[in-house]
Amino acid sequence: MWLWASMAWAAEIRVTERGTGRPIADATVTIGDASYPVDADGRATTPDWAEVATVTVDAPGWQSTTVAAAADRPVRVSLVASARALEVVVEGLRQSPDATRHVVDAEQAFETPGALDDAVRLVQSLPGVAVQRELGPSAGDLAIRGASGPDNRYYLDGIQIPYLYHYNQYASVFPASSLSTLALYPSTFGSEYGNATGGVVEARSLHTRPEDVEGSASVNFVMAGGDVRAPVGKDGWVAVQGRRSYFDIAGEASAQYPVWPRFFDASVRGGVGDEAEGASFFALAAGDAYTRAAGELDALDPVEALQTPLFSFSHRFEIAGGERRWSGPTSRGRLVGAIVHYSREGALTSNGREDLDDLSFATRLDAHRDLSERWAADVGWELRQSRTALTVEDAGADALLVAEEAPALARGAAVATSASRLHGGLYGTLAGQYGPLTLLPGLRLSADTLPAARAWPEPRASALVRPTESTLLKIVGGRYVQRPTTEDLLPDTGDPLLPTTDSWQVAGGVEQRVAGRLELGLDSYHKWLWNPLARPIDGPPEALPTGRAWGVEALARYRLRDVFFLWGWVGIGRSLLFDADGRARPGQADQPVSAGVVASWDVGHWTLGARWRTASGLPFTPIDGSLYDAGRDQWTPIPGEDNADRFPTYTKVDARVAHTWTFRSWRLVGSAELWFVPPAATPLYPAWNFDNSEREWVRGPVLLPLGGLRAEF
Amino acid sequence: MPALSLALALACQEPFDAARQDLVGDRVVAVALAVDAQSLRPTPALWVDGRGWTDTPVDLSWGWVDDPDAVVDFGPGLAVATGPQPVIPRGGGTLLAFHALFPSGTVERGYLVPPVTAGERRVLGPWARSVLPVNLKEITGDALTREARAALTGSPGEIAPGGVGRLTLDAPDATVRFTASRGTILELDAETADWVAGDVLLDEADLELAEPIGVGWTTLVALTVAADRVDGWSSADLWVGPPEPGGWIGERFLPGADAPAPGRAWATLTADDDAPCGLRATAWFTADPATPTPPCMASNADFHPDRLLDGTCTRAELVGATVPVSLTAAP
Repeated sequence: MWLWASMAWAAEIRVTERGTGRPIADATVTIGDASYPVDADGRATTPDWAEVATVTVDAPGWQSTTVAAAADRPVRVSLVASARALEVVVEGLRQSPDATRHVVDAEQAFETPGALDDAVRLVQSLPGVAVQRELGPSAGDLAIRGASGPDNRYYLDGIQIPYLYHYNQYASVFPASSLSTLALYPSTFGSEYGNATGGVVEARSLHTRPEDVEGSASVNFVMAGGDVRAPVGKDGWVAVQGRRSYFDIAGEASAQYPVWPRFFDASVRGGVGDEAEGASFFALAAGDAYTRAAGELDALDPVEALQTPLFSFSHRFEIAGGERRWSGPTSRGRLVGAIVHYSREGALTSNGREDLDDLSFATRLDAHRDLSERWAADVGWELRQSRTALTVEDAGADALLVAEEAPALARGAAVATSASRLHGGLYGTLAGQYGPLTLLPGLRLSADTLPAARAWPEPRASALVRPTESTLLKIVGGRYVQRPTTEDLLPDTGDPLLPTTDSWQVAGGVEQRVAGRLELGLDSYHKWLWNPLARPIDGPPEALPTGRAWGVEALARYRLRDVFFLWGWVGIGRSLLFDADGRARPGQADQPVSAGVVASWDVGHWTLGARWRTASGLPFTPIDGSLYDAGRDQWTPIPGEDNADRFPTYTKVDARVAHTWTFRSWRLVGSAELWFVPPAATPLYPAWNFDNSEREWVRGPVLLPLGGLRAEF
Repeated sequence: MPALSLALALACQEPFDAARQDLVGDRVVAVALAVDAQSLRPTPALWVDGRGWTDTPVDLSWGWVDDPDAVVDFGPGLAVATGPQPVIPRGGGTLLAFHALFPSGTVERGYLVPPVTAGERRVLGPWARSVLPVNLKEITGDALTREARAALTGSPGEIAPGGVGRLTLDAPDATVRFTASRGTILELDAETADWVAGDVLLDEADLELAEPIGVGWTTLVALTVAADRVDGWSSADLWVGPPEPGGWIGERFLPGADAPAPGRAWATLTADDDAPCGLRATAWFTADPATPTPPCMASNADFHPDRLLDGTCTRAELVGATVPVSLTAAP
């Protein structure tokens, strides 16, 4: 408690929340027999008293606090919240046309071990999402129910974002501190989403007006940054956020990475109103850049290592737009519009350069209206007008070394091409309630103008049955169509004749709430695909005849907000692609078995957490010997059968302990984590020797300690 | 796969048994081409079962294909020529493919893009040899970095176990690639490499393995890559420790007591698995003993150990034969 000089004839007492300094407006100050309510700013003015008085402050939801206050000095009293009624969070049992929906929020992102304060990394701990090998090349890939990265869609406030992760998937492009919720729809989502045969990740940023200036600053082993949110005027608010990696600033560099990877993200948001009713604007940017030796220096002799060219890579996106939300007795909705710019550059010091530039205007409408007591309707659109330009300066054989980051450059041909495109969809879903039965028939009409105008109807329907208040049965099915990306359709580097991937999907399941607290769920899904795309590293995508994915997932979930959360899951599934002869090969995201448990417990100022995950290894294409290029004294690998080999089973355990120090107007959270990967599970990726006759694993660490600090005010 | 991990220091990998510079097992080490307007003549360097010689020939087939994918299926049934150094008429495809079946059953396939311009195989040599003032027993990894080695100057002498020799082949407009049957090659520049008489594993400047090899012979094969074409190769023998008796034939050594002075001589050959070319001279003659020439050798041609390396002769064809040799001074 701080005391300082005041006016002679009146005492000023201010009541605030300990740890944030925010005023508590419904407090009452009692001195003797007299009580004085505080104003909206937490201030009460009382008659002066002689020497020292006993001041008691009470407020609903806060611990009563009594202090001895000297006369003639303003008094500031910080209250601590009372132990709250435990809020049980029930995330299931929600009426929607989506078969399955998993929601995570900032609390879970900050407190789940291994998530590194990143909500998107947390998605990897949800059922249906393939478990990836930490620090491996695919560490952050969101492979969802057998669908790999390009088959999924990622949205931030209704706008599709070009990519989800910074360099090597160490952090997603938006911090958890800016998020309200992040939802995963692993498959068979409603008609409001389209152009995806995989899953959908939709993030919603905070749109609430803070009561006072608040924010945070954080640092972990990858990035440092901060955010501030402040009220503006009576109804408005503004939020600013920024993060950047710092290893390059610290002077880190190596022969393999002469310019150490650096990445950043930043945003400015503002608006009036709240989540239900209001308007907001947003502008955000994210980028990654590095320079690396094009070859693997460990595999080259000293002279070759000197001669290997350097490759400079960068990609970034900027989004600017606005959103209008409305809510009334029988309707609600949102209208979003944004300009999205994405650019990618890759350049070899020896020869060759690739520049991709994409500028889009995206708009989205989601509107809901209750038509009657029994019926409701959701309608909307998702449209995107884009222009994509690609230039490639011819590169030699070195371009194959950078095929993953610069695929157009790796094709080997000089190109200057561009394409304009309008694509999107109109959708409508009805919801009809008949006692315990809810029917949700829907239709999405998708269209695309590249290479020629065409439309596809995507009928979808769900049926939900609630035999009891605690039980929900659901079945969902429909058509899901996915068009190739603009880059895949460009001539010279892609294939304008790539077909549309078509799929019919069905999913069903049951959700059960036990004793009002524990949620149990069992989901199954099946997808039939036609013309799924395979993406060889040294050529444009190609369409295979058919594919299938199916699986079963069991989930248990329990949560007391701000105290404890736990979920566990087991998933069994397959994802297969079939060639023209009907032979099956595993899809890139084929993971037959996965399981995990996540738990976090707040005990006073401590938070204890643990996460265990185990899963079948993902498939990869082995190398089956090599051809000796005797003209250049090099060995050309002979790829084996597609995805014929598999990584070993992966298991990882993360343990986390955090402590919160609460001060008068701010608090500090320090965390320490330890990850453990059993030695048999440490392979990250395979490496082959000079003539591809031997293979060894590049292995990650068995134990790794991590830490972080976050200050909030 | 490039090492993209941010935490590079946290990833590790077991070393491979064989590096590009190691002559082990069965391997087509190089193929040089002599080219004219109508035909090509390849000259391979063959390493068989860990040696530069073999008693059983390697079956070589040559033919034309149009792309590397077709080489995977190339075999004797599609050959237009067979043997170690056939004359192959041009035409029939854009790539010259080869299929090598080793006595062990190992198959190696490869290809070359024939150059348009005519030219003979590049003649390489002599090898410049010297010894560096370092030894594995006394140094750390910093001394073996390219920058540290570039500051060293070699001098004549013999290489001790753990010692380092410097080898240079003059090859304008080309990169020389050295390989060795023992020890470790550390390249210095386009024409020079340092050969360590030891097994060395360097991780940047950290010396993770440093085991001197014992006294004995090491055979090296170097090839030159110029403008996307291997245009020549050459072989040499190195002795670790004091040399045993024998005679030098250019850069190669033929062991055998009482070798005559440099000049024309004849040697009767016997099998010796420990000799660099698998043969030892049991008798030397300074006058032609008028013995029959082995069928694998052209008449009036002198024997050279490279005839075993390029597949012209098998050791079995030479055992017991008395062959003419041109002895030279020790390199």
